[in-house]
Amino acid sequence: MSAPPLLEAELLVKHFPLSRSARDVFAGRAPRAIHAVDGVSLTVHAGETVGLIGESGSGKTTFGWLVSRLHEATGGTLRFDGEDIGDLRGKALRSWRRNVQVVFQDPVGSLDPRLRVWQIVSEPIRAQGEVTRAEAKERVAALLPTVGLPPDCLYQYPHEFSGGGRQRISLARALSVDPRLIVLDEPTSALDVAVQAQILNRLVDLQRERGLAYLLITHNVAAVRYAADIVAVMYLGQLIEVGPVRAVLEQPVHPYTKALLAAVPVPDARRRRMRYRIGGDIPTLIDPAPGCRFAPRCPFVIDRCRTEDQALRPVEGFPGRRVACWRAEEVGAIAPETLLASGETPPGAPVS
Amino acid sequence: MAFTAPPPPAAPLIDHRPGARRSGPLEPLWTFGRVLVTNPLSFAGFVVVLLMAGAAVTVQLDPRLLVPYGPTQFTGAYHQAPSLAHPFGTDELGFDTYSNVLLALPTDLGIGFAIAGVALLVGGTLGLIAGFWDRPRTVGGAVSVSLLRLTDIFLSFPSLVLALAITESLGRGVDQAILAILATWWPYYVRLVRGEVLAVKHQPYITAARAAGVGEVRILFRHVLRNILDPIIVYFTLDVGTVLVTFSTIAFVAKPIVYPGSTPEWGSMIYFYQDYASLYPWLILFPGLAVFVAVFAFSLLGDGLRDVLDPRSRRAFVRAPTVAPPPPPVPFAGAPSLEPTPPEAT
Amino acid sequence: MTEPILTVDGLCVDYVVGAGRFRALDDVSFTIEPGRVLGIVGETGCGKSTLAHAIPRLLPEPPARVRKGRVVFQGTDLLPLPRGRLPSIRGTGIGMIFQEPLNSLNPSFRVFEQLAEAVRVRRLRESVPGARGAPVEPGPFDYTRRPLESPAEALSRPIRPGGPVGEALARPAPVSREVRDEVLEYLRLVRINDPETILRLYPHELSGGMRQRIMIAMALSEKPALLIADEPTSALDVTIQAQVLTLMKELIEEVRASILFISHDLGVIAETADDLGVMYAGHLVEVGPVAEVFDRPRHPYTRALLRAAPSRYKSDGPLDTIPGSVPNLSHLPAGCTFHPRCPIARPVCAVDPGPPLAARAPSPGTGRVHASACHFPEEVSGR
Repeated sequence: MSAPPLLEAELLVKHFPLSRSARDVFAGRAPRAIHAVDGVSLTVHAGETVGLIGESGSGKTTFGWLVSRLHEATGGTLRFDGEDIGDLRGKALRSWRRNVQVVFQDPVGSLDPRLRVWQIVSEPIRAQGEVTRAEAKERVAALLPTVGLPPDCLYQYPHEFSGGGRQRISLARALSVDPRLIVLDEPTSALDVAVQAQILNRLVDLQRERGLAYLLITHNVAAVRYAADIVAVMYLGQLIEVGPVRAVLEQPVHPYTKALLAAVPVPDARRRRMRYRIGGDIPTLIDPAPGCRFAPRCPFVIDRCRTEDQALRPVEGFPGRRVACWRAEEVGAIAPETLLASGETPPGAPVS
Repeated sequence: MAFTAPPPPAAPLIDHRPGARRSGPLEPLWTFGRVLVTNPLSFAGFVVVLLMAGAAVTVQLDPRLLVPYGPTQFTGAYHQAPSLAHPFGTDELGFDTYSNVLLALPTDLGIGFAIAGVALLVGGTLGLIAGFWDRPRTVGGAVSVSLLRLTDIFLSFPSLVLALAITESLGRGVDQAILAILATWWPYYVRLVRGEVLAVKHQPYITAARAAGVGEVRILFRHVLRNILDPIIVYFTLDVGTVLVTFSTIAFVAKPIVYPGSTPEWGSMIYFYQDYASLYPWLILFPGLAVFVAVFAFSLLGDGLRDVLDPRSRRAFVRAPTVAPPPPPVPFAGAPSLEPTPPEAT
Repeated sequence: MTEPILTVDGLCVDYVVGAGRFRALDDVSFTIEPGRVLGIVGETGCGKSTLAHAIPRLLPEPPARVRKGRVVFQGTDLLPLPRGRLPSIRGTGIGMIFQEPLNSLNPSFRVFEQLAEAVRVRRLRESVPGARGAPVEPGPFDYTRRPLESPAEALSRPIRPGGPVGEALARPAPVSREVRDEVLEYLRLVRINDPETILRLYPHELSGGMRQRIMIAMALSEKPALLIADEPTSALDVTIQAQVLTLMKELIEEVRASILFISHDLGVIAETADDLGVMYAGHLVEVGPVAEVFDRPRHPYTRALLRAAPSRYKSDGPLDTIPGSVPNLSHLPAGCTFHPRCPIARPVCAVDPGPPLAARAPSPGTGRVHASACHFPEEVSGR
């Protein structure tokens, strides 16, 4: 592709400094920081969906906020349409926001309870320029059917809607200024499966109609499988695997991706069996040790993993894939089905 | 034997679960009415506050409509117990207590509203600023911190004692007493408003507005202020009563108002009559009762308002959900068939 | 056939809010046999959580009101029991595991204190003759046989206001070696590697998965005959959820308790349950062995729910959805509650609520009951 990518994040870093306690000050300890996002490079092309997947504390939401300029990055560069947007401020930043809109996770909290639907949905339009109330209402009324809301609910309040309805309002708000990229931050995690399917269908339809690009941030593998073209797996502030969605989900390379996919319960009563499980808890993000972040839980760990960081690199035999693992070639060749439980689950445990 | 599947009902958008309700432009009023009906005490408070406000306005415009005697008008009867002619009795100067209690109404209510109102404006504005721009190591943060330390200094004195001290140092007079109470009153509003702002400021919808490109000042007024208004209105209503008591107390102790005089006031009446309490109890009973009723009515009204304005408790008052009734049984075409139906269309 | 541990028969629970009345549970009937795991799935607001709380009578009344029905646990109907006897039943018979372990653990006690209390209470109860499942001989926790203090201990003890109450408050309850050992044993049972360290921590210092293990240990330390797990893994991350699910599956083998497992996640249920019940709008619409329900659903709602789980790629076409929305619990449609959204509905569905679940005969294949509240269960499976 010759055109510059729509969004290009390069080695994006976000640290949240922790306040030093009096004891730290006396002991002369350096201030510590939470390394929420630690050198993440990711590109989103026009019209495609990148699914960013990871567990809680992986920094995926922080990354979404960095990309939509709701957080200031500690380091790295952020380009939109080839232009550096990292130091946009004030008015310039606000008018840039018409390009990138956000749909938030919490369908209850992200809609102001005191505003009516038309006021909520027209908020970005009115923030972007001089629009009269009548015009704003008209545009909202035209917009509501595209997200599957009846146009006569202009004057209702968000609490009158079910979770799915509220998420549609959120989506309409994001669509109102015709953005080119929508950051979807866990758009369906608060919804029931049937409603989730409706929203995902709608998202895919809208993308086809309008050529939107999505950055879909979620912990839900099923949602990424259906909606994404590219999937990026994040663990403790770093990307560990990026590739085409079907390839990654069917043939994961990184040990963490394998574990994550194996851990997703499958709604199929016949496939119950002891599967590949990783032990241990997700470690803290405060001043992490050097080396691969996954090393303490990884069943394939070698000494090199504990000392040297590996950046994302292409892996032979897996086209379009980039993986941050020293043993990617060896590990990638192992079929996930043959992996048995490791860590705390004793091998040879009963297979039900 | 064609079987037609029923048309799918309207999209699943409106919440049909408990607590959902429909709104119209008059919806808050309806809720208010429902709350008053279900909560007789609030209703009583509402009525008393309305009556007092009406009486105060009437007395201010034309006292002769309600008040039989002037503030220092001689009635010809000393120390008379309550009777039809003198419902609250008369004092040793021959003045009518009923007239004086009623004539004090505009003064006391007006002072209560004025002090609470000015404190709300001053303290509320400062609290908004201190709460919204409080990021450390910025200009706003520095202003916020110094403002809070200043309120801390004020709040570390007992406010009544401080108000008395200020009154004494400023000299006797109504204006001085009002200033003194004001000086001790605004810090509470700074604290209250700042706390509410801090709670609202981190709500996801504020971030959502920022992501939509809304400017900070507009966020402050459109989203933050609108969402903190309710608890503040409730607090203000309750506070009018508190100010009333405080002013009466200061009037009783520091005597800024001369009674008997042209503008009677409940606290100074009680002060003036205190020596006769055992002999002619009605002289202090009725001004005291006036203070009590006013404060009680405001606090009942405040509690009722809290129910109206707080969406969480508002739900309890909603009648059976007013969403559309269940659709009538769908008319079916064709007779029941035993053939397997074609897979559903989606 | 063995005597079921739990029989729920025609249970109806209403919520009365203001003038509104919401039918949270309507005529729910099922049984759990010893050692089996019954999974219950359904969407938000279908009444599955109400069911979980109604069985051990933990529902706040009001607003909840049990209209009718029986909950027979080990031969006793729990609903008419006086409130005073409930703690003994909940403790010895029914253990609960909730969704958010941080809210269910007391934040101001260390792990050890919480677990020790549960163990101690159980031992105390066992020592009372006549309590359910109590051994005949007095238990190890006996106030009359408290070991005498040595003079050194008595002298070093701070002097407090006298009287039995003051003394009992002032001195921490004696923790016997046995209680401590038992607590450690339960922590090891839930695969906590370093129980001695964990004992000294407060709930907020633990991760979500660890907290859920502590909750499970607490529930098990009561030696329950029935465990009710209400969305036990929904607040956890996928890899942690997998750990906890594996643990629960192993524990099912070890402790041989029956489990009522409630979840909105079909995958989680598929992995743990032996039998599956599907709830819709306060009704149990289908019950059967889990593999059979997944393979040959006999209720259209079950089929729609199974299909809605997204398991395909964008290029495979749109996901299946269920038309319409979950009905308002105060205005349930007449007849079968699912008929306005049902693709195979007939006129009779709008009038007749459908056959009661209990009336169905065991299916010929497995000998287990696979019942559906649909009028036309044979038509559902046709894919």
